Amino acid sequence: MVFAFNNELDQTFLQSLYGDDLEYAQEVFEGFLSETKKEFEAIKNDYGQNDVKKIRQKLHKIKPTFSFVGLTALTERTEMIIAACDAASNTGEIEPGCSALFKEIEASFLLVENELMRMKDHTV
Amino acid sequence: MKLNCVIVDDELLSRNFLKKFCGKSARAEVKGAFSNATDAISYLERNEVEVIFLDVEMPGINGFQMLDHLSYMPIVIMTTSKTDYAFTAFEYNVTDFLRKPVEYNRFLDALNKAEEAHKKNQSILDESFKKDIVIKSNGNYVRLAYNDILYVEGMGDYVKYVTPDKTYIAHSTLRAVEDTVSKENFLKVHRSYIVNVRKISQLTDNNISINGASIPVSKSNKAELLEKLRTA
Repeated sequence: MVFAFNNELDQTFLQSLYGDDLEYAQEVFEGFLSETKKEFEAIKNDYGQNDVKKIRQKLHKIKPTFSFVGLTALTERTEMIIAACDAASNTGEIEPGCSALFKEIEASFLLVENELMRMKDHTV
Repeated sequence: MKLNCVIVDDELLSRNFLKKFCGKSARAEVKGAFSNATDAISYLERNEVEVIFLDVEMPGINGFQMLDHLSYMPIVIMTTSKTDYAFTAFEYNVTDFLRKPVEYNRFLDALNKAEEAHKKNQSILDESFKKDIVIKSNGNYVRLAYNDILYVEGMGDYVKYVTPDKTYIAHSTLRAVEDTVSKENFLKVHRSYIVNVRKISQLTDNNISINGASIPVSKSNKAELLEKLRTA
């Protein structure tokens, strides 16, 4: 039976990326949960340090990874905060968008974890 | 033939995607994947590759700065999540520009362009290697630089290669020589003569002078010779 990605994710994009290669999709989802989570923790730390430059740099780095797991809209919203960082000198200037983005990223991890579980169940 | 390539990107998932795509295509072999430009430069100093998949924004040295450090210029496919670099990419003669996240079909397009560029580079290289010819004369193999050959005279089943210092008789035909020599500099001007156009010192009516020798020019070959003299 063909696996259908959760409709909260960009199914068309995921299909174009992985086709029938669900094994590789799992590998990428796992990579996202380890790598992007790690970077996100560092971004939160940079936020605490009021370091907009580093926030921008790391957001830029993780931006495409959201699309790899079907969160294409999150990639676009991250791009907007990156643009805001370019014009900002402190974290106050990237609010309230930055906190909203962080919340969304936190929520995305749960969504991706669940999707990964579903894929694993499907391939068993 | 697979293109040898390296991937330079500070983001692991993007590197892995490109590795996966290269493997899937079976047209590119990944020789190395680096998370920063410094490590990539160190590798590329010791190993020559044909293609680099290169991220632009990386901590430390960015993608374009990395290209400045290389002693040779491989085919470059930029991978970035921004499109602001088009002009700089053009200046660096970048072959293609992939927007992250990269889709497989778009990756294949870039690979097509890289293969085309590689073929072009290869043919230029091949042409530069075609600078001489090996002939058998008097039982010995002799290497003659094209640039040293003044003209070749056909004598039935033999040909005479004339250089400023010496002539060499070889068992061949003028037709075979014509097929071998560079069309850019050599031209058959008469049924018995192929000349190095760059060595012609004078053209009078139906004769040319090369290093003191007078060589006949057929009426049917004269127009082509004049054209060649204008462009060679």
